[in-house]
Amino acid sequence: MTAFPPGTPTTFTNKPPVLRRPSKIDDLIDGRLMARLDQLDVMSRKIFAGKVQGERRSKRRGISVEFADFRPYVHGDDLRFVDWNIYGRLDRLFLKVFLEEEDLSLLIAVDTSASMRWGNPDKFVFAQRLAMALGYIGLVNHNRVSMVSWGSAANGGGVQRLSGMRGRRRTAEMGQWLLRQDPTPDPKSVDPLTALSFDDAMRSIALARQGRGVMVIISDFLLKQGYEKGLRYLTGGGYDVFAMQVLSPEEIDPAANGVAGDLRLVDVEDNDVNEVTVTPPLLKAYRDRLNAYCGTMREFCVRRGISHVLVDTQTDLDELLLDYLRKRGLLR
Amino acid sequence: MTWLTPLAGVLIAAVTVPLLVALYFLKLRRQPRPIASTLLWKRSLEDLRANAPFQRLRMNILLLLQLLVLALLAIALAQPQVDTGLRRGGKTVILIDNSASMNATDLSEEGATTLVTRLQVAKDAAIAQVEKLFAGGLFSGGSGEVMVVAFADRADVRCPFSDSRNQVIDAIKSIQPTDGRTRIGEALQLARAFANSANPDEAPPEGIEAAALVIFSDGRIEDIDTQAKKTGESIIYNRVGSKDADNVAVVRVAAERSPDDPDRIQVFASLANSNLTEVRCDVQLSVDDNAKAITPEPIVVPPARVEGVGESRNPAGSSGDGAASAADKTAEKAVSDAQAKALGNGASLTPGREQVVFLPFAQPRDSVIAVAQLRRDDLPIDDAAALVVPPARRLRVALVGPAGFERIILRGMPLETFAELSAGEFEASITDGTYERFDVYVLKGYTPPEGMKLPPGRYLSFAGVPIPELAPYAEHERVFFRTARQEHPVFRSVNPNDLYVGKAQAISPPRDVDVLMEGTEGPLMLAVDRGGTRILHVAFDPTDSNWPLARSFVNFVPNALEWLGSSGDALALAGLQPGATASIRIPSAASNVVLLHPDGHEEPVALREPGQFVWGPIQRVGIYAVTWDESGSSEKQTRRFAVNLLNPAESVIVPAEDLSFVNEAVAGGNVVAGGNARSSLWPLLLALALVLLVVEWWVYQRRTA
Repeated sequence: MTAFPPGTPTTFTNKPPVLRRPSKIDDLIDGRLMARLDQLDVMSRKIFAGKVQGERRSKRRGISVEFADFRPYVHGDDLRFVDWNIYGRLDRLFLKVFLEEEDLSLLIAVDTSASMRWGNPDKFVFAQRLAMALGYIGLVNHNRVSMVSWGSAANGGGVQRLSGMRGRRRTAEMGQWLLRQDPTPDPKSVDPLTALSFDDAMRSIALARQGRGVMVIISDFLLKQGYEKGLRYLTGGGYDVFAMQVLSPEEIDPAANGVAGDLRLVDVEDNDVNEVTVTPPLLKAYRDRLNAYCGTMREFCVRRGISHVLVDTQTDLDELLLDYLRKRGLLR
Repeated sequence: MTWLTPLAGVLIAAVTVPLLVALYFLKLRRQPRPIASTLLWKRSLEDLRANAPFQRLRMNILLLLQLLVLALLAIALAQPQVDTGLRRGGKTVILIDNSASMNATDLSEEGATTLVTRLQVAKDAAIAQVEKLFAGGLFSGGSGEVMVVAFADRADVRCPFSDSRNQVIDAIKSIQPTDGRTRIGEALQLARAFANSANPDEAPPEGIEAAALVIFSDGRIEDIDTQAKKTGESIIYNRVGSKDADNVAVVRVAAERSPDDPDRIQVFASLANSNLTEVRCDVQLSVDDNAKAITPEPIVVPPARVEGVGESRNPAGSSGDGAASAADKTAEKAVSDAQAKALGNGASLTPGREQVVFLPFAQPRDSVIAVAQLRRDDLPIDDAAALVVPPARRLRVALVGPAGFERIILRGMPLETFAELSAGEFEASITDGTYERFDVYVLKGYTPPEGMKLPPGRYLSFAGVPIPELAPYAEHERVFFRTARQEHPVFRSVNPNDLYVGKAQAISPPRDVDVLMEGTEGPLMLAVDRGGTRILHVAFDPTDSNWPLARSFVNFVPNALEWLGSSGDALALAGLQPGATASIRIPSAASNVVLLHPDGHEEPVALREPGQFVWGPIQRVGIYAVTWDESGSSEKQTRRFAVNLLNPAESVIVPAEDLSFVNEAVAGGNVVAGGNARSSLWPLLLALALVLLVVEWWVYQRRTA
């Protein structure tokens, strides 16, 4: 998804990009999009077991209207499912086992580190809208939707959670939670490195996840300490992981987006300064670097069963959701 | 390319260029830009830096322009000049021509109040070159050594190889003009000898660089076609002089007292015109500084002829009378074209000649007779020539020894006194110093006794051994006449063809003796000229020959006496040329001898030999006077002699286009009055820098707009 969709070229300004930050839920997701998303559902490549009865057939026998089998009672089973008729006839406790219709856990993790508050269009705004849309799809389809954010300086770099939402009525709550997330770097933050590192955040998410389901990580993955260790925590837990790498046009093609001249590049996260004079050889080296970086990450993900999706913030969200992610098997 | 101040340029460049680059690194106005992550940029930069440390400077047209401007300014400060090939370092010999033609003032600028001679221009140019050679110092890699040689008749080392700028410049400044001829052979020899490579056929030995010879001359060098340019030798010819140089010279002057009437003098003169157009000039004859006569109408001197380029032409011949001015101009142009062409190909210029004969006039006393052409030209020193004519005087002659036929002849001659002396009387007069009573002694078979030597004087000697070198080793018999120097004055109207000598001395003549007549067996007549002694020796007794019976003998004796008798004054009549040595007989008792120069200053002269005034070489033309005190006379005795250029070669002052050595011609470069021909490049460089600055400003504006 590195190619730009045709459209007016974004203009690059020297100041931090002026954002139209979403202030209400309608800014994140409008009614028209909702209507189109209603038809979609989050799809897993496997049928997952769930805690609560959901709308999909589970491999696990459980509580549902479809009877599956009987089994002997063992200590600790729910007495509500004991078949008292059989007990009356055979004087033995048997449990009724139903084919259980399970729900799907949908965990959406959004990077709120300072680097996300950058780009034109803003990477975080894009991430918010994407998370909102995916979350909405999950809620509408009665999946168990959890939202996680990490890396925000305002929150001390910790992990923020909003768990266990289900059903369309939780949409507003989810929206409000998303709107509260703010990756703007805290000027008072003395040492930006105290923010929870990506590895720690991923470990925390991996430890806290419940059940099985689909996990979508939305981040730019431009991590100096590397993404490999963090992503490795997420594998093996039975979750179907999607790594959505969100990059702004300036990051994908600096030359076409006004990055020129003698610049003093300041890293918004760690204030690292790089003085560059943008020259064709430098731009070429940058492009080579970017391609190599993304290529390495894609290879890393594929090898570990993680789906890597590179998204340009210029991409139309409708197109991304209704077309691209369906092809990639996240939605159906 | 020559650099006047390379040090300044290098220093400025060394300071400012790194400064500018450093400023670019330091003060590069980088726009701060927050960025999501410097991760990729950092790695990209690392990739680039690995192979291009100055990547950030690449493609920076502003910096390039500024560096260019700076470089131009630095180069301008170093003051480059277009070089004429003068080397820096190594050995340089500066040869400055100070011959007569270098006194020409053809290079004086228009409207200048003072006349500048070619020599002055050459000296200025040489000093300028020396200053350039020594300029710079630190970075010039050693300016080498410079030797200064002035050359005219002789070469004069004014300063041996020296690395002192002041010494060299002082040496150049000290070069005085002379009126001598131009001969470069000795100068080249000296220069090469000093430069350690004397053999002109050999290339300089390995490691020793041949000295560069820088010649400042008008190229009119008499012996240039006998000199060779060495292989690998660097000769630079700086031509001094204008092609339009204009000169008419008095090249010959003679005065003669008529034999019949010694009181009357007739003066002859010859004019030479080295211009390619005919000239008309008035000629004035003056006696003792009083104008005596001026030619009644201007003398027309024909133009010089150019020889050596195709057919010789006489371009101005037909352009004379009443032609339209346009035609005149065309002719003049043709003339100067021909002149330029002629001088380029080593062609020679033969000046046009015209003779002037003045009517005889009475002048019994001794006097200075001067002939001057009154037309103004570029070389004044050859416009006049002077002669000192001795008083009309008859000879005092003594005959020593047995008289013969010659006594009859002597008695018949118009002499002041004639005496016959015995050998004893002659020797006595030598010892008591009264021998100077006679101008000429005729010695008949006289040999000075052992231990005695002929005093300075004039002797006509028949047989005998007047000086030991003429002692005969044998005796020839039956000798016939073979040949004689017919052009010698003693053979005027003398035809010795029928001479037969029965018995003659067999003499092997020393080198410095002139053989005037030879017989079938050996020399028969010899002229000895040593200091004050002049002897005309006849190697046989006339009575042993058929000569006294021939008419030639009757003519020979007066001729010989006249030649010997006037030879003390011969210089007065013939005049001396610059570079020659004046040798005048004065009384041996003379004391306090002083030479009065033409410019008025007096110079006491010590005599090396009593009775013989010798002084030279004479550098300037004019009338010189020798004064002395004589015992017994309170009055100062004076003898004058004239030095005249009288050199047609020096009077051709049009500079030669090139120096035509035997093997190679060296083309010349012009040296002009009031500065050298080299032009500084710094104004051009500054202008270029300004243009670049404007371009840079434009680029900057365009970039920031």
